[in-house]
Amino acid sequence: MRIVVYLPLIIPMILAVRAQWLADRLAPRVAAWALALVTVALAACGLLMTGLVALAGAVQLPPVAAAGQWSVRYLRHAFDPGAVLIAVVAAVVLIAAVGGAGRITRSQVRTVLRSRGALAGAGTGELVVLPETVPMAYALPGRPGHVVVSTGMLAALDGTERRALIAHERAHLAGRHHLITAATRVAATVNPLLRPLHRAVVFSTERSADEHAARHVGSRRVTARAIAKAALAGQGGATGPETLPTATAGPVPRRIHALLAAPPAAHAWATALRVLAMLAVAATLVATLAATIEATTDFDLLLDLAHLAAQ
Amino acid sequence: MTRRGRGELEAEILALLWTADGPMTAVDVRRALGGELAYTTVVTILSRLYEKRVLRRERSGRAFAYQPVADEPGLAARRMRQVLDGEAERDTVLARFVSELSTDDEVVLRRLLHGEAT
Repeated sequence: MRIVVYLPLIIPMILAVRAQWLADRLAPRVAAWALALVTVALAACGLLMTGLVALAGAVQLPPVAAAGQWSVRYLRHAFDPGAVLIAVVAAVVLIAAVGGAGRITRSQVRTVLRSRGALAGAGTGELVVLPETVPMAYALPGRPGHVVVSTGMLAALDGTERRALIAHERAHLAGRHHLITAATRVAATVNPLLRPLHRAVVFSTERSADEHAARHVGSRRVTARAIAKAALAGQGGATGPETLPTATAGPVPRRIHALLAAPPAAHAWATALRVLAMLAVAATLVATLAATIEATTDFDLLLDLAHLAAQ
Repeated sequence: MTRRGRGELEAEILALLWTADGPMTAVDVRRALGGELAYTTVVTILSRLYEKRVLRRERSGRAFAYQPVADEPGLAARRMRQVLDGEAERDTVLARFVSELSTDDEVVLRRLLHGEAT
């Protein structure tokens, strides 16, 4: 099959390399939604393309060709000689991708349901406080959503910092960020090349919630301090795989840095880069969809011709 | 500072009571929050939280002193810990306030925090 078929599989590589750069050019909320959209689209198109490649081999099997009334000779002539072998690989990849997506989705749903079940009876209302010395705070999605905080976390912060914390978590709930991050997580499972995009989306949702909290309490510094104190308070516990030293700064220092730095002035240069970033994202989306539609219609046409050839 | 909604006030007062050393009356709560809120507002919110069985109260002179209900949350905390420890996808659907830090990040953070304090 022609190279256009493989475009939706290759484009993610290009975009993923620059994922965080793109996210940094855009406002956090815009970055989250725009990048999530293109990530999910890339994953979906990639799956579709893989399916087509697998199908290219499947239709050449005599029983299948007979059922569809397609000329096997024509199909063998139309597709590359290696198409059947590639189709087998594609089929394996497809099964693994779909299986992975299903597994991850089930795990996500189960996590939310189990969490909500665990909290049943711990108090109605949005804020649920758990008597635990380990500092923790997170947003639990649902109808209604909950902000779950441990007494350990509350103790680590002062009054205004607590407000920033709660405002941050409420922003996650109001913005339905869990839907975005869950979707990109599934997309990154389907196509591991999309992982940097998923990470950039997660970071953008955190930045978006930070900005909301800062506006709400009226101080970027207090919000930054709340994040720093919360992060350091949680360090007393056991270390996990995420605490391996990284070459670049992790998300927490970057979030604090972004809050402490003055909001970027409306510089012409910054605006130009923002427009460029949006164009890059939009262009990727369009190119991927176009390539997918092109490949699908090509394939459809090919089958029609094979059908004619079989008459 | 923006106006605080009802839900947010409830959350703020609940959080305050959880960090308090002992039961607090409406007067205590109002003072701890900086005295901006009306006394009647504080009383209303405390009563509502009591009706939701999130707080319990005892007589303190002529007023009530409130503190959080601790039994159910304790059970919930244990159950939550089991869920968190057992589920690999928790970080995708439960948006944590802060992720874990590398040792390098910790150094950077302490420096940032110290710089902010000065």
